[in-house]
This record gives sequence, C-alpha cells and structure tokens, in this order.
Amino acid sequence: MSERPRNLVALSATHRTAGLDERAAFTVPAGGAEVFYAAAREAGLAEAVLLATCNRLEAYAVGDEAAALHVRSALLKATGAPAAALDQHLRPVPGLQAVEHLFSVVSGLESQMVGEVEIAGQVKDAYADALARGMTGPVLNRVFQRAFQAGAWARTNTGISQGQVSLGNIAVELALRVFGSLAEARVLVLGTGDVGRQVVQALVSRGACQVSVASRTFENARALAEEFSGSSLTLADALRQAHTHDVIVGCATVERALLDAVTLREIAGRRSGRPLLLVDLGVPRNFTAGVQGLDGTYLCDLDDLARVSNANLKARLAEVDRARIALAEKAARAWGAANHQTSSEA
Amino acid sequence: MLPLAAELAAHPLTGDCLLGCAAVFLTAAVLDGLAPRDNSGKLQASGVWLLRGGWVLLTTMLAYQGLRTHSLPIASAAEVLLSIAWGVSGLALFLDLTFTHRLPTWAIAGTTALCIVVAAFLGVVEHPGLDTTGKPLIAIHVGAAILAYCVLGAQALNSAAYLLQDRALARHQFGGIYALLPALVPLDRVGAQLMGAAVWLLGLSLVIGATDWGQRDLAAVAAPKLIAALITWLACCWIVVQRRRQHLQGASFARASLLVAIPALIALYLSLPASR
Repeated sequence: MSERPRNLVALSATHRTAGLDERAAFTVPAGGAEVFYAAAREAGLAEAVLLATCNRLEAYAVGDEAAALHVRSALLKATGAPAAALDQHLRPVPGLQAVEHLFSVVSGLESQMVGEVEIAGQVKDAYADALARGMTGPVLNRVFQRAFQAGAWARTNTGISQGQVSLGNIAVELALRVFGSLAEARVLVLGTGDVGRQVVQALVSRGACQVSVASRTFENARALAEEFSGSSLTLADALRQAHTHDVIVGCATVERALLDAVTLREIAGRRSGRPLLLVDLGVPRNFTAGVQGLDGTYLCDLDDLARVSNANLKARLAEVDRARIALAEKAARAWGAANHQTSSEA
Repeated sequence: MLPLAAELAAHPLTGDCLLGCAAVFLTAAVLDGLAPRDNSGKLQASGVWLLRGGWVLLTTMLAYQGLRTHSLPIASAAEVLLSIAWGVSGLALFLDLTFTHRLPTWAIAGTTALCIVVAAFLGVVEHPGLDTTGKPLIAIHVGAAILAYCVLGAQALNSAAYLLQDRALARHQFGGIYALLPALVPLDRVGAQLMGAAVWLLGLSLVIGATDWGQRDLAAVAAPKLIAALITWLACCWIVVQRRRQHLQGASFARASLLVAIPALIALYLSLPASR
C-alpha cells in the first residue's frame, strides 16, 4: 500500500524579504498565536507551527494541496496585516526545501547575525507552543526534533557560531579575559540606551553579580538596574566611585568625555595595581584615550570591538557554505524518514 | 638484589623510550595549539588528556629508573631534567584538578617535551647516586629543592602567560595565540600562591643544605649551588614581601617572577651531577 505523503509547506517573511518598517506591519500581537492556530484548525490543517520573532514571521504546516493558502489566510488573521503587504513579502517554501529552510533557521544561518543562538530557543518555544495546543503530528514532530539536533550539530561542528559578534558579548569576553570570572568583579555601566541594555544583559547572563548602572536620567538607570537585579547610581555618584569598579563600560551619549585622561590616571592610581578594564562604546568617546603605559589598565573602544566583531563574523560566514551542505544532507534524511513514517502509519 | 630490581637492571631506560614519551607531550601541545580552530572543543580536551596520560607515563618511567638504580632519579643531568619535566607537568595538573586553574596546555606540554628530548640526547647515564643512606634529611633536601625548582618553573610559565595576555590586551590584539591564554586575575592569584610555595620549599631545602655544608667533613652539599639557591630564595622572599605590601602587583609581579627564573636556573645547573 502506498499513500501519498502529506504536503509540508512553509510560508516565510523575514528580514531578507522585508525592511524594518515593513516587518513592523506584520508582527503578531498578543493573542495572535491563538487566532492563528484556531484558523489553522478550522481550515483543516493537520499540523502547524507558528514562528514569530522580530526578524521573521514563518509558519510550517502539513495539510492538503491547498495548505499554503490556508496558512496564508491564518497568518493574515493572526497579524491583522493588509493582504497586499503580507503577500508582497511571504515566500512559500515547499516540501524538502521547507525542511532545509527550518534546519538553516534553527542553526542561525538565516539570522541577521549569522550563527546567533537565540533563534534556536525561539524556534523551540514556538514548537512547544504548537505541541501544547495539539497542533503537531508525526511530520512536524520529527522534522522539528531533527532540526534541533541539526542546529546543535552545526554549532558544534562548524564555525558558524565561533566567536562573539555582538558588542555586549564582546565586551563581556574582554572582561572575562581580564578577570576570569565576573562573579566577583564590580561592573559599572554608564548609559541606558540600547547598547547599555545589551551590555548589562550580556554581563548578567555571563555571571556578573555586582552590576551598577548610571545615567544622566536616574529613572532610566533605576529601571534598567531593577530589570537585571543590579544597583543604580546617579552619574555624578558613579564617576565619584569609579575607582571602586573593576570594569567600566561607557555607552552614554555625551558631548565631552565623562572620564578624561587625568581622571583615569587618578582612578588607576587608587586601585593599588588591581586591573581595571575600560570599554568605551560611546560615540563621541566616553573616556579620553591616554591610559597607555598604565600597568593593569586596559582601554578598548568601539573600533576595537567592531574589529573583533567583523573578524568573527567573517570567520562565521566562511563556514556558512560548509554548514549548508551538511544541513541539506541531514534535511533530506529527516524528510525521507518523516515521509516513510507517515506512509507506514497510513 | 631483589628479584624485580634484578629483572629491571637488565633493561635500562633507552633514548627511544624518552622520545616516545616526549612525542606524547608534543602531540598534546600541538592539539592544544590547534584548539582555536576547533569549535567542538575536542582538540583541547584531547590535549589535556594526553598531557595527563603523558604525565602518568613519565611517572612510570621515573619510578622504573628509581627502582633500577635503588635511588632517587636525580643522579645524572638527564634524570634531573626528567624530574623537572615531571614536576612542571604534575604541578600544572594539580592546579587544574584542584583549583580549576588551567595553565596553557601547549606551554606546559611543550616545556615538558623539550626537557625530555634534551634528557634523551644527554642520555640516562648511570652515575653513582647520591648516597643518602643514614641521611634522610638529605633526601628531603633534594626532594624539596627539586619541587621548589618545579614550582619556580611553573611560575615562570605562569608569569610569561600573564605578560603575554597583558601585552595583548594593552595592544588590542585579541585573536590568535592570545586567545589560548588564561585570564589575568587567576594567573596573578595562582602566581602569588606558587611564589609562596617556592619560598617555603626552597627555604626548607636551604636550611638542610646549609647545615649539611656546615658539617664540612661529611658534606654532600656544595657551596656554589648553595649560594645560588640562597640568592634565588632571597629574591623570592623579596617578591613575596613586596607583593604583601602591595608594591608589586600585576605585570610588575609577573616580570619579577620571571627574572627569578635566572638565578633559579643557575642554581639548578650547579645542582646537576655533571657540574659537580
């Protein structure tokens, strides 16, 4: 007996097909997932998974010949976006290609920052959500589980996740090269903008326990510090207590440097030889250069970090083709196995 | 002669055995050197395990030699070098397993391999061993001195790693060989502990050696090496005191520790049986 394998289709709109403003139009609002799965169920889709992140809107579904149309319709209902806007960016990906695409997404090959690991967690959450709603079955279960394995394999066996590429993580890597562990290091972050938040998040996720945040607007500092269980300081207090910190990250928008060369030398002098890492991510500079030659004081600026980021990104990109070839083979095997399983079950 | 010793006596430790052992350490160094290109971390782990295996092999070889000659394996320059190699790699493993402070495997394995290769070329010539019969303190003197030089050797490597990392961070060189180096603060912390251990071990060895030298008629310890060891010990003491007073921190401490390796090497050279 041979029953035709069921139709797997993916619809995908990502940062590659839509700009930032266009992507904003088809974000999934709170409760949108509920609407999507209700519509999918109503349309008779046997299996469906919705993946909505800030850079991508995707749905994977198993159904009859018209599955793609049903998915599109469910996505329209879930996002509330105009049909024309969504159609312009939605790309249908059928069968094996959909599996290959999912494998690439989970591995981070399709991400804006190649090799980033957050996407794997986001896909796992999306799959778990669909699983909890009873919207997965033999095909998507197998394909998604194989995709998670393939993603882990690609990260371990190729260089696609090698080195850090985000400024926050690179700053943390530098701090680790000085202190080994951040558990005992006292860290001061000056500035509460996007970069400041990214840095605080990276620090806390890598074990920093004593993070202080300072900003000209104290309320902003307090809000960010509270979010990550840190402490907040006014800018004046932070600068006065600068010598008590082991790592100072400057990412404030300033007209002139917060710490000039004389102050930095004074701070270094008061630390009795304990190392001090200064990371200047501000434009214009938050710290004046001029600490060269001071024992145990290291100053890195945005250019240094960008150089590291570019080198790491280049190394990652060089590995993309190798990863794609290997993932394509794994995807073909997973697709074959999924088809075989559904045929056997039928 | 005991049956085992009689059996062993017929099979001396050959240069090929030593070169084979050196190859294990060299492979460990190469694997660790290639680690940054390997995302899986398997090469690095293999390097560490080879270092551990190599150390066990070296321990066995030294035990074999000791059983053959009925003495500590320090009777010839080659044996002393083997003992130093054993101490340096053993100390690195001790720090790794006890304090989770891993010195660069490539540096430790490379240094150990170098010592063993030199020992192989010198040849394990069998000199009459130092007669410690009835003088257990002389055995302690020798053991403490060997251990102290091992600690100073490990500290020299530790300090070199610190200075390289310090230079890399100061010059904003973040990739390549520098990525293999441990972080500064743990290197500094372990360095201070090693220097303290060196002061105690060398001090103990010096006290016994000086007392023995004082009994000139029976002296097994020579004056030149005693003086060189004394200079090394004084230098170590000065470094430890300056560090306690917070006058010698970070890179200065590492530089001073590296400089102490010079009198330590001289003292070690004067301790070698060949120089007597």
